[in-house]
Amino acid sequence: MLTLCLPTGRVLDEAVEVLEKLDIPTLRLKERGRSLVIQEGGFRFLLAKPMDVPVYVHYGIADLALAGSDVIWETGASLVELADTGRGVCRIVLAGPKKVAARFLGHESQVMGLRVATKYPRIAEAYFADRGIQVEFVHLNGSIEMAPRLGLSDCIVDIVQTGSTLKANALSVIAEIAPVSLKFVASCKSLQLAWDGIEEIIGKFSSSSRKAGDLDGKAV
Amino acid sequence: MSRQAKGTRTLGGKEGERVERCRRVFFETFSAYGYQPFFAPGLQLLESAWEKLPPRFRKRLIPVYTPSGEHCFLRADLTLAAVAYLSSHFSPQERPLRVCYAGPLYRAPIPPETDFENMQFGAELLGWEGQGADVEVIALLLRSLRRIGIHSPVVVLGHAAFLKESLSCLDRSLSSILTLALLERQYEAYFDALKEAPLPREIQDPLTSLPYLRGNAGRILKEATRLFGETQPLLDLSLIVEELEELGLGENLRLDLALARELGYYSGPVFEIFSGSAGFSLGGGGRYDGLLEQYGIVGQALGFGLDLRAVASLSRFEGPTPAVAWCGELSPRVALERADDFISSGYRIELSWQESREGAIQLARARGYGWWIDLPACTAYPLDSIEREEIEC
Repeated sequence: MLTLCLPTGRVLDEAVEVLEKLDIPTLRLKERGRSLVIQEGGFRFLLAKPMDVPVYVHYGIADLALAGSDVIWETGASLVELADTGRGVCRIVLAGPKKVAARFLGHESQVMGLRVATKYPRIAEAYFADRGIQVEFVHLNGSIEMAPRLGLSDCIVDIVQTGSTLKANALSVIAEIAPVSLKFVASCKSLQLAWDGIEEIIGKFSSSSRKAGDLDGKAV
Repeated sequence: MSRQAKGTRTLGGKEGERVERCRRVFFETFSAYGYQPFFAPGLQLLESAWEKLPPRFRKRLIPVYTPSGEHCFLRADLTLAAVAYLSSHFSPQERPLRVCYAGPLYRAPIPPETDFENMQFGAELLGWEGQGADVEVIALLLRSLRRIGIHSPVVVLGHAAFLKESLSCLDRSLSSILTLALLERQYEAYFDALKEAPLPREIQDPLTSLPYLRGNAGRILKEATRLFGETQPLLDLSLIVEELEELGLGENLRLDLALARELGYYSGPVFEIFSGSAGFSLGGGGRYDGLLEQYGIVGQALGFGLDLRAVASLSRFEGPTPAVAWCGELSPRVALERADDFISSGYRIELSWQESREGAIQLARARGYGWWIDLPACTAYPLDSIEREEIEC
């Protein structure tokens, strides 16, 4: 039996669609109620907060998972990225009010000491450290966009899908940090010890993604 | 309240006992084959190691200054120390050198891990110029794991030179991108880079198959030979697999020809160790002949490191029965003599000098013992049925 960890929240529906395309049974998953551990066919599904999904894979509790590339990067989990599903597409960006955005166009001394609100402290730190910019971080868990408006921070590092929330909070994109999408990942242990089962799913992924429109992502 | 430094751990009680028993089994197994215990200093000089460690690994070193102002780092790797020891303490006629060690290693943790101090057991075989070293080390490692009760460990074998040779026909930039993708296990990035490169099919197709070349050793070797030809690395692996199968260890072997290990100095067969009951690799190692060359030594070098705490957590010992022995009003001399009798009949004893018999039983239960011995009565009782069953000494 393979254990698959899935992210709860709005991305779960997309994850279930991906599983359906891979012929993985999802009936009980759709009628899950409040259950967080669901068994169906030859699979056990674990439902976890998106940020926790890579951690379940890192420690080998889950053999496989669908996890966003943002949370994989942020948690630093050691896992195997097998394929991009092409779902859950968005971007991690640095965003701020126009005034702050203008400072990024000038000399780097103008942006030293900025205060940055984010729920991705590791990603944000790597981004600024790579550019030699010393900033101060405020770690928030949600509604990041309102931080500059309320004076909690000068700018933010967050995920953006359409950009409408940024707009509503008078923020604009200063820099694109990384594209984000839902990745199909495996634990290092399972890749070795449960390869036959995983290879079968990857095979389905490849043929499914070759059919136009089924899965938009790149398959292994 | 006594706080402990973040990222460090105290090992005591049953966990400490398991770690110690595993350490002892490893030392016994390897020293029976001429591996000598090796104790390296806790600090390594930065100037001696820096150039020999890959950049990714350097970032994890924990630097310190000695009282004499020398710039060092907390011991992060024992292989370098073992090679330096071989080069400075042994003449070419005295080689090969076999060493084994156990002790803490210090590396900055990569999240979500938090510990920077880890107990490791390892062994190194240095300076041998013929065949057999890989088989010897892997076989002894598997035997040790079986002896501590991990009955189905899996050694996943790869080959650093096979990877290097397979990518050698590409330009350096693409080759580096693909190597990094394999090292970071980002197969999607590997396939993307390969797809975008304008390569002829006879090169692209085998490289596209590379991450799939894992699983049953015989099948994978056959498939790899079909795709890449009968190369020396594949012949090396074939020989190792054949010998280990002859030793009855075939079921513990898998091949993964895309396996890339973190330390850049590997140059031949490499391996990682897994167990079904642990979620992650228990350790690994491989051949690092190139590192010997840097010290001016000709020959092979092979070593591995195991996370001793992870291995101990999976261990199942069938050893002496642990018991608390209540001394009652016996004199220490008589109590020790009677305890000796129980020890020679297969018990491992912790003496209890408590006055009350009931108190001693409660203590034994609280400490998780299965047996309790009444030394004045010379009788042993299983604690879960203390009223029903009695075993005469």
